[in-house]
Amino acid sequence: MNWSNVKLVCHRELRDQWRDRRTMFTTLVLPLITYPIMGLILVQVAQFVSEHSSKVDVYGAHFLEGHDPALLDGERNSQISFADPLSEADPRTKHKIGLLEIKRALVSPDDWTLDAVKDNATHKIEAKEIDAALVIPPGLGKYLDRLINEAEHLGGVADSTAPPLDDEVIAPYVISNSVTDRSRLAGERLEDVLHIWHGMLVDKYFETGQIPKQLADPFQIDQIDIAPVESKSAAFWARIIPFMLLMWTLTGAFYPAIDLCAGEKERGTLETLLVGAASRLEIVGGKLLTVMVFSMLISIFNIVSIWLTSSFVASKLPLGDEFGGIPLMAMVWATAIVIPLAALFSALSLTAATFARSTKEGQYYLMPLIFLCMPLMMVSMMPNIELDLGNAMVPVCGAALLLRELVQGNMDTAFRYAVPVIGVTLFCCYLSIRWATAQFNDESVLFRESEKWNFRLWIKHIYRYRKSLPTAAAAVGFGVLLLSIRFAVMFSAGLPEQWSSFASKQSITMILSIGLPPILFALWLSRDWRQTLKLNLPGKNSLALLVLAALIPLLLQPLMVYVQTFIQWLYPVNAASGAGLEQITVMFEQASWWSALFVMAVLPAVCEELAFRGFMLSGLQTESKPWSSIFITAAFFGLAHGMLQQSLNAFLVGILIGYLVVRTNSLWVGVVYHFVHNGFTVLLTYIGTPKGDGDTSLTDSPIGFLFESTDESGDMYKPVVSVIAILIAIICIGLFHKLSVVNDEPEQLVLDSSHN
Amino acid sequence: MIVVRDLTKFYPDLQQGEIQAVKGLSFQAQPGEVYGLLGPNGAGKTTVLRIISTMLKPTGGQVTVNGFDVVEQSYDVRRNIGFVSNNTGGYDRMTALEMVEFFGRLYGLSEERLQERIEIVFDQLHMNGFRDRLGGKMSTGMGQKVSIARAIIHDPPVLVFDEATVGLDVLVARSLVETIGEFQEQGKCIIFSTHHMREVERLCERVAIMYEGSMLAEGNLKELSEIHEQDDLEDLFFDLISNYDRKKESEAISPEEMDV
Repeated sequence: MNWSNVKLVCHRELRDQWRDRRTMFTTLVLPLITYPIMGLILVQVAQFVSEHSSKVDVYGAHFLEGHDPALLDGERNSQISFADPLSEADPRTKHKIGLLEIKRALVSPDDWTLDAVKDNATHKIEAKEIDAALVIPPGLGKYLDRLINEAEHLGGVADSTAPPLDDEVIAPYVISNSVTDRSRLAGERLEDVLHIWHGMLVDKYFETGQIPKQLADPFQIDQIDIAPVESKSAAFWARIIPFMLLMWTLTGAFYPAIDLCAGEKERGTLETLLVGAASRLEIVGGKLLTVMVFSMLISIFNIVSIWLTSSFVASKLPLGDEFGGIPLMAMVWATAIVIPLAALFSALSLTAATFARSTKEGQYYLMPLIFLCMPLMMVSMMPNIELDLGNAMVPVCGAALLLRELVQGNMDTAFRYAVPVIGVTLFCCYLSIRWATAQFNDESVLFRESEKWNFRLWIKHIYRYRKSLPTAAAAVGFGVLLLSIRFAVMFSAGLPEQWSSFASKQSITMILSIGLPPILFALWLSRDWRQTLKLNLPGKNSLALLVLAALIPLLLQPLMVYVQTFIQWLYPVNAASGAGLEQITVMFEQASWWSALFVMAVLPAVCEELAFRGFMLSGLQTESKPWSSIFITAAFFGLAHGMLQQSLNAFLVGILIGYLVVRTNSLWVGVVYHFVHNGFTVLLTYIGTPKGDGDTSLTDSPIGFLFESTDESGDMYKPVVSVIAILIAIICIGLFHKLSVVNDEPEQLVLDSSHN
Repeated sequence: MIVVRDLTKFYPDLQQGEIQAVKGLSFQAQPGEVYGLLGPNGAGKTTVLRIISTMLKPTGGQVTVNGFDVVEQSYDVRRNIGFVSNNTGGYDRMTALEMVEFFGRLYGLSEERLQERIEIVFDQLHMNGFRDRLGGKMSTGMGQKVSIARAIIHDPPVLVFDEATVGLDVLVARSLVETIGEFQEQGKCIIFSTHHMREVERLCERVAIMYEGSMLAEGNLKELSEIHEQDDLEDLFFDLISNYDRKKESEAISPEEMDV
């Protein structure tokens, strides 16, 4: 690759975008002005709400006349106000009382029922005549006087013959509408004032009754928060920033990518560029760098703008410590982490945009991309998800969590997982770039004509013009369909408690959802279903190859146990999945060894091999390199297992089986391997002796000399046994490679000869 | 020099499975020659020219440009070729000078050589009046001149014009034809695809007439007129296509099929 050409293409594209005023405005200027405007509006609204006075009607103010401590001041039929001592209690309450415009509500004594007053106040609030109402019920004054008497009685001041208090409590009411901001605010202000008055009443009762106040309120819980003020603010922003940054990086990459690829097709300039001296890879490189620059600039501009706005808003509004401005270090980390993410999203966007024929079509591809990435981006906002090695290995999700840790200032955790996160991101980035380059090399993508796609015509087309083997697109489509069926079955069917019903259900679903589809698809989408499903023997050295295919999984058992233990350490099984596995283990005790072997080994070996190493692998091999086909098939095979821990294990096994099948072009090798792999695990549970806790001990079994007991992982293969077995397995694989030399170029077997 | 041997090209097609756009085409074009590629729309001319310029890969056969194979040595081919078509658009937000400079640098010209070539090309194509005008503000004729300048900035020995006069007014089209004549005088090997007979008569000595991916006739214009007894190229063109269609129809209803 000539880097000066990459630089030239990038420079040209950047200049082109720079001169496009609309792009510059929407990507760079708009974020700089949008957030400050939003912040200003927020401050204005908040100030308006906090300074706006509330109109309140007080019903039954005269029922409290002469009561001490007073709630209201003012003679009967004259203007009323809240009593002065209330204002003196607390400066904040004084401010609130100042914002409450209260007046006496006039209700004739005949209408003085609570329902009538409530209806009257509701009508006035709905008509916006008042914001809230305070209702003093008729008996409140007398009730409070009774409480004073009771206090005096307790303090020995009053007559000891006073009647005892009954259970009836009379309380004032606040009527407001919580849906309307003004009314809700008025209600809250009234409640605060009443709360102060309530406190004053309690103080007076305790004083009169000569009761120490500690008896009612022995202590108040005092929380000492050791978090520095800036950390509190960081914790809040640590949840928000990763999501926002990732969203801006993705959307910031997408629109320039559409303009640079689909837009070029539309304007006819792509052909101009393709006939120039730059190679496709150089063109992709130049365009990728341009998109990356825009993606980074847009996300950083947005974050800077949010930073400035948040600092401004935090200084103007009393939001509390945790809602302060974004800490400066958070900004620095956000800027650093945006680089690999921008590269990843730019490459993905470029691929989607290259496929599009027009800018309009390109925009249709944005939504699926966002929906795909959104759940991974949102993890930073979820409280229970922590950054660990498992999460670090998940693309986008790891980056979001890493950024959260960095913003929070948890440097130890962040640096521990920075390498896997950045490694995974860069690996995905590499794959995306390769994909984008492949799209640029694909003339059917570059010169796609704008014919209308017709589903019926397409179905007819793939049947009528099917070749001896299915296409790669058919293979991937089949894989997606298979996964959809598998998940639908998995979620719709519960786990039976009896082995017999489990076995019959498992057998039927395995045959119908995994075994039958590849046969039907091979008949529909290929002319040679036998060759598609690879139903031939390995050819020369058949017997030896089949024996080796049976031997290798046996020898690799110790390695698989270690791998499984490692995977479970990386991703511990959650409680629900653990309970499900436990239930299956219990059911196993009811099963005979041959029925367990049939359901757990024979059926999966035949059905899953037909689907994955049969139909899917054959289809993929027609257009992809053998190793790519093997990896893609193994990924689908892994996903079909549903549970993450099993999926990773199945993915690794799938790679090995895929390799053996590609070497021999025979499904039987895969079936034998798969059967022995599953079958041996099943048989081990029957060979072991029961320990009484539902588990079995292998150390006391006839093959106990191979195992040793460990505290952490139960029975494990002895290290020496493991090493020897793995070494022999490697030799066997080497032997297999040598013996299967006849089919050294398996892709040639699947080339269609219709052009010749 | 361009050598095309047994060239075939298949495209996938939703209705027919695949379409053979080029059916075993062979021809050669020499330096100092304008080789005409004639044919109606859909004849396969653009596919052939896109293969020659390395934008598409052939399904079968071999194509070499100045001795370089279009599949194996595509980079060398692109450095030896200049491609102009009515599809190759210009950049709206670049000036004429910037566009030509950009492609010159992509071809690896040194700054000194690039400036030298720019002066020559801008003089030759009379482009100095609009060298700083943005692509979006140019007329069609100006745009086509920039397109040619971009294609010849590296002084390639081979030039391909794919229906380059389509959409141009008479004056600009004539000017373009004259320019192509000048390139021929400079000893360049030129392929000129069009469906305007007059342009072919004016520029080309040898032509290939294409129809539905096949070559119906190839050779010297005079010789073709004599063989097919048609003085007028347009009449010759119609005769060849009519004969081909008639032959195809008669083959479609063959005696064997009638028996069935």
